[in-house]
Amino acid sequence: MSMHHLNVIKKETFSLETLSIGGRLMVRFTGSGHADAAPLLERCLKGVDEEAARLACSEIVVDFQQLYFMNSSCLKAFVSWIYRLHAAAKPARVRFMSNARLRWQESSLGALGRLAPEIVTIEAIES
Amino acid sequence: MEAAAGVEPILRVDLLLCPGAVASVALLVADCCVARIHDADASRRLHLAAFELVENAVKYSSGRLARVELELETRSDDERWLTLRVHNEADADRLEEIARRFTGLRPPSDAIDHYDRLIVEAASKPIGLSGLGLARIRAEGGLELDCAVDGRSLTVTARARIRPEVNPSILPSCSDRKGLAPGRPSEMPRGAPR
Repeated sequence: MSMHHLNVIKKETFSLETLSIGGRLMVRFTGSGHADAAPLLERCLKGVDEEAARLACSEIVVDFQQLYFMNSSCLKAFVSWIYRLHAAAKPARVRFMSNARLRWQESSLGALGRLAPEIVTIEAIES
Repeated sequence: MEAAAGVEPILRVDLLLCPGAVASVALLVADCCVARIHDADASRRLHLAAFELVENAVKYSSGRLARVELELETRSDDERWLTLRVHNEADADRLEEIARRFTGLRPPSDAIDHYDRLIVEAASKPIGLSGLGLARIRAEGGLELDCAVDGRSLTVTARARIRPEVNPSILPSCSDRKGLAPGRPSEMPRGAPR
């Protein structure tokens, strides 16, 4: 299966990658999402919107397995993104891959799930 | 033997407010929780609270300094609380905004309902303004929140009840320990980006 990096942002405390894997989109957020990550995350997710439309994606995977923490500004970036996707005529589904050991993810992703249960699923991965 | 009722200071830090301080102080608070009470869940909840409260202080304080305090309160064998306080200075507009936010955070408002409502409101706010931090501490961390204003001085308090099965009275205090407890409360491996 072919994999292409569409966008990569690497900073000291976090990295954001957007990948196309066999025609599907994946966003991988790793490290720690602090205040400095939020504007870059927001911009990255806008780029994902455009790619999802171009590729006519029905599902976008967001990989949080190595995301150790994110603050409420980063959470808000995902809130806006999901809200935007949900409002689309034919919304793509979002599947979060979470790390079952990182307990904060369960509650934070739970909040995102309640925002748009029709399009958001959460898959807790045991590592 | 019943634990003596009282308040035990665990941590007091005076810090110069800068973005780089947020993650470090939050991890310090979390590490102290694990070292003192060996409760990773309480530690995780206090880490979230410390992160959001110190970040708020960095963003909105009118002064350059803040004080962070953590203490363990024992009321009885079955009732212990961890209390985190963040003190900083704020201007009149911020104090008014805080008072408004706390109106929605106090009972009888339901923590999850209130948080979910703010999440919907946050969707259309500009970058950097989530307005979610306090509600997140309450809903995701399950902490009680309060605030006190004295002149231009603001103190925000977050309190977590410790699970009854965790008995800190039989554990060594922070000062008795040479190093931090294994297993970081934030589940962050050492060496991971902060």
